[in-house]
Amino acid sequence: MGSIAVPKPPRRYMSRRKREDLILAAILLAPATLIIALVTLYPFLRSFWISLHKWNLSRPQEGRPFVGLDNYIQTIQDPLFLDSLQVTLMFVVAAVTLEILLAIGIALMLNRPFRGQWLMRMVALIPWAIPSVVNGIMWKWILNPSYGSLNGLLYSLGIIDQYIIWLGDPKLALAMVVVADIWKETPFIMLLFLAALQTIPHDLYEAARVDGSTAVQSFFHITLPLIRPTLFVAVALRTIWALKSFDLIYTLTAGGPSSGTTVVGYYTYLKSFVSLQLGRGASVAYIMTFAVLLLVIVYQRALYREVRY
Amino acid sequence: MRTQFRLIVSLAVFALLLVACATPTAAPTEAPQVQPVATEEPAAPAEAVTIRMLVRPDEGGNVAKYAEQFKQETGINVAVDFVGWAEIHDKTVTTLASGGGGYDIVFIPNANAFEFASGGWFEPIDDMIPAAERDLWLAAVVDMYTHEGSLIAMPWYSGGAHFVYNSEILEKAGVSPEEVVTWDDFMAACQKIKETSAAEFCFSPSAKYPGNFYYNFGSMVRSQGETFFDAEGNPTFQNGQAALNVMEMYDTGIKEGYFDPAGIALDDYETLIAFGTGKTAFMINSTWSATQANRNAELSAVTGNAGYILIPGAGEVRSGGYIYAGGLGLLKTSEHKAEAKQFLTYLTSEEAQKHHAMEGGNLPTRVALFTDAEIAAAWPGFETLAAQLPYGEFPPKFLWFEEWRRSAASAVQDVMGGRKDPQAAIDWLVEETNRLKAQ
Repeated sequence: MGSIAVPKPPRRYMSRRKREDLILAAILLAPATLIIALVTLYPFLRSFWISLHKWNLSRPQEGRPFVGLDNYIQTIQDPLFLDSLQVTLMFVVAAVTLEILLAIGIALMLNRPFRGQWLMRMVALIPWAIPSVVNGIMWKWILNPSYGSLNGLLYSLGIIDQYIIWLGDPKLALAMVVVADIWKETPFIMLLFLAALQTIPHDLYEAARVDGSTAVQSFFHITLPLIRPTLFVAVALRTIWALKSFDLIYTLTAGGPSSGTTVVGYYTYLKSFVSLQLGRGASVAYIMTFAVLLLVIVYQRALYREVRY
Repeated sequence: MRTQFRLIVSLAVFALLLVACATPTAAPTEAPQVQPVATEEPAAPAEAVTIRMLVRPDEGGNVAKYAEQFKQETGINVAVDFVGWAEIHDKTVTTLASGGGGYDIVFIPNANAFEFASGGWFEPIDDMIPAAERDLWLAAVVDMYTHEGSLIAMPWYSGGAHFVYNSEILEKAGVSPEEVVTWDDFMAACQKIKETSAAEFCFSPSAKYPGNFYYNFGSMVRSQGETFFDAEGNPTFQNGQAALNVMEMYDTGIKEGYFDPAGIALDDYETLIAFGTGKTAFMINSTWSATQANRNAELSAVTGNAGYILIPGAGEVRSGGYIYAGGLGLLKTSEHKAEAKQFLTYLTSEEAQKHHAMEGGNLPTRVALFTDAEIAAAWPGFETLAAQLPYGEFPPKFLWFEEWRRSAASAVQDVMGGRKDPQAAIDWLVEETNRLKAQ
């Protein structure tokens, strides 16, 4: 039986230059890959492993027994966690919505040519440059019920006839935390929108104007569709950041009054560093991680569209 | 050609890196010094020992003074890391859990003594206070720092809740501080202050965690002779009258306009600032804050007018309250245990504690210093502050107590904010206690 000679597929040789480039790329990427693996991947996997164990720092004699999903079950059954979920939801929805609306408004204003435009753009960014902890302490002073400047201002303007205890009622305190967050975070989102607005060709607006379009129509039919990818980035980023809010709450309200500002980030801190239950703390962090992942997927489906001019 | 170029560039970069990393050589001096010829074989110079210490900054002046003096006398360096009160617990826990962070001595507030001791991170130091010398120290503080029969920290300072009044306001209202002996007297004084408009408010409450328990709710209950838990941590406060009385006092105080409603959002430090503005007649606060109200013009506008009386009691019970202490523990991971012990002895000596007390921060832990004439002369009101201490006791040692204090503060806030009536707040706190205990 004669054998049929199967022709060998032509061997694809990589040019020497290409091979050298690939090796160089691998060498250059190696340190960054190693660092990312060390500071991201390892803690990510390690914290998941911790979340499956009962690990109480103040009871080393009990060891670290494997408890499976027990920490997750206990967390979900904890009424304080359920309250903190509700508080987080209110905080995120209020803060992100207001920040996006304000940021778009300010970006539209700063996108129009006017005298001192560059100065205004710089000034508008100042709150974002302030560290979060400093922002919290600053607002704590502003909102102090006895000598805070907000009460002083409103009283001197005749708007209030007695000082208000801004951080004394859970709902009002949460509203004040939202205000402090908006003040700090809006500039960054505004910057994103400003950059996006500057990429929109002016011809589109001119053509719309010639066709008799009003400013509102132009905004909804030209501006908004074209900044949609940026809107997705802004909403996704802000939601993630707002969900993991901790420093502002820690410095401004410490989760109070009556746990009214205990967001999930602060609850995680309480479990990990006050109760010293590392397993429980890690389980809360993982629940949040999955919630964030889910939200980002939802946002991506709802908001993300490729823009073609 | 390209490869050769890359090789040359790489070699050049490598050579530059080597040069940059090289130890710089000292510039030559104008005239080289002539070394004296040694007549004997010189001993190898002993490596200087440095003790590392983690502590809060409030006692910074005292630590710095005695660290310097210690170095001059022994040649041992003391490097101190100061971490603020708000962060020191978290910093300490993470440091201890990660193997000690190279520290030899770590500050242990009594509130965390049980928590830290349970972790097994501290060296037993019973030899530093032998049985024969225990009487020289405040027994309650030594007991607080004794865990499973072993001393785990040197008692450094003590303090507690104190009742502070503004003498100017009381005079204006015609209230004598000596008349305020029970909580009923206190409420009567509040009524008088309001009727005479002697002050905007009678009392600055402090409902925010962490100060609320020590300097308000807890001490106000304890001063009526009742406790919160039994030995197993079961709640008992719902069975007595004191906790309910205090909640009702908050309720009445707010409704009648005696108590500053802003107290719902104030911690103990912020309460000091509020009292310092001169708008309230009374506050309960720590030894440190009580002293600052009278002595520190940067924090208080009523310096010289702040007086102290015992925390009011109820019925046969004259007074009571919660006390606190600061201790210095020696880490098991310390590489310089002997030197660290030497410094611990130095810093908790009678001389160092006397200096600390005269600076007017917190009370000492050595019994003899409570009758020291020099301290009494340097610290106005020292006798009354010292007299309050024996009425006090340390809070219970339960691992869930820190979380419980937050819940207790929430209950007080709910009453002050009108969200719960006093009885409902007590009932809720009982449920919280059982939940925290069970978890």
